[in-house]
Amino acid sequence: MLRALGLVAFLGLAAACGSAGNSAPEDGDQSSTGSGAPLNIQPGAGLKVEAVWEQGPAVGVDNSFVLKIESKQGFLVKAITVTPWMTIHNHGSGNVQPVVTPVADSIGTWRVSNVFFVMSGPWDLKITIRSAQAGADDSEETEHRLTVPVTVPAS
Amino acid sequence: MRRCLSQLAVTILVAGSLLAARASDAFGCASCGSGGDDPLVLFPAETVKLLAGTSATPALASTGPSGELLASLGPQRRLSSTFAAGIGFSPRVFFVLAQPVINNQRDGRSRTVLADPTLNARYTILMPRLTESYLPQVQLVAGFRPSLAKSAATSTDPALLDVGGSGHDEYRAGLDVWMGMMPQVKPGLSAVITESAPVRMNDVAIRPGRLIRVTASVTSTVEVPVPGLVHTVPVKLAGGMTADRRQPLTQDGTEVPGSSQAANGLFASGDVAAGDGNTVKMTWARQGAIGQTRNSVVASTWSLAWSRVMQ
Repeated sequence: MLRALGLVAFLGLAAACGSAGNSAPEDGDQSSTGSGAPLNIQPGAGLKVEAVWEQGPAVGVDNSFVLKIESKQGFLVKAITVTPWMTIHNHGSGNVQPVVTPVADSIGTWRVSNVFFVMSGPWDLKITIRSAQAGADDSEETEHRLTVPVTVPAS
Repeated sequence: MRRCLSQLAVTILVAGSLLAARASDAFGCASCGSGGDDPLVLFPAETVKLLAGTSATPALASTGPSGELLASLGPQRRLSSTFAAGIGFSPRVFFVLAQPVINNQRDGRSRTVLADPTLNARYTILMPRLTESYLPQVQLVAGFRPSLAKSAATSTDPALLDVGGSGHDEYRAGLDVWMGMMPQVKPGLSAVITESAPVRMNDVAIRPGRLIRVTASVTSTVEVPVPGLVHTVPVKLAGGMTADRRQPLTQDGTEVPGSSQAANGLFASGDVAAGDGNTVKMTWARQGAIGQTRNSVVASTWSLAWSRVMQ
């Protein structure tokens, strides 16, 4: 059974890219169920982001989640990167890189697999979404950075 | 005879459970002064001194922000060796350059890496005469540790076995006060502050918080009878505790909640002269021995170090 990160938020399109800070969310709809804490999002951007755990989060396994991104103004998502980071201990998971692949027949949905946590405790998923207006060239891409707190249980 | 042997055994046990060191360091408490975490300390008359040490940490346990033990797939055990050279420029000033080599192990796999080197210096502000029993020796302590080795943040090993440093240049300064002229038990107290330089990671300027380490110690010398020798052997014993407190890590100047660190340690050491300027020192150190250990490591380290006065 899927466990939901349950992360929903709206970002205003006009805003500059978010930074992966730790400030509390200031606007946007949010909900959180399952093992994930609410998504930490910069205010005023314009994307609706939802993530749901498929596997995990757990130590030492191939964790995966499904990331759903909607854009009110029809922005195209050009690229997504995900970095697990244990901020309080200032480290990641070595060279284990999450793999982001689009889900077939589901527009705006990506599967993020190979998410590796080297230890239990409070982690952050640092998600970078590069998007652009339909028809715009690459130089007009916008980068959105989101930080999703995740508690990885000890067992 | 049996009494002598039992005394020797007790002494070896005590001596073997001695010396101040951080859990990851091979070296122990200072041979002169109350110590802290300098690998090597020179007496005023010494101008060149070398040290080679080895240490073993049989188990490492990481802790979280509330002191809880974390499940970890990082290193389970660590062996390390430290090579250090000290040069005295005057009876009051000396420098020590130290280079540790670390072997991290997990599940039968291991990696050996050069750890970050350290350059430490001490300047004796107040140097009591031998007759001034209750006048303390006061030293200024300074040090620099450049970030040369891979850190947990830059590791490319899924078990973090290639980690040999903090990932940040570190600067330290402090004071060491030692009642070294007292006749029997010589107490010491040092306080050292370590500042870390910020590093950009994931497009964020990350800076570990200020670390304050306080070390309290006592040293004493006991005469140990050795079977077969007509004279006793002096064994210098030391023991004490350390308290480490690190302020929260910052990202672009903003403190990360729950990232402050705390660890209290115990240490004990013993060293014996091994003829003609040689000293052998054994150390036991336990990080996380007392109280809550937050965002740190609980570990015991056993060390054996040899030092030699060259001049």
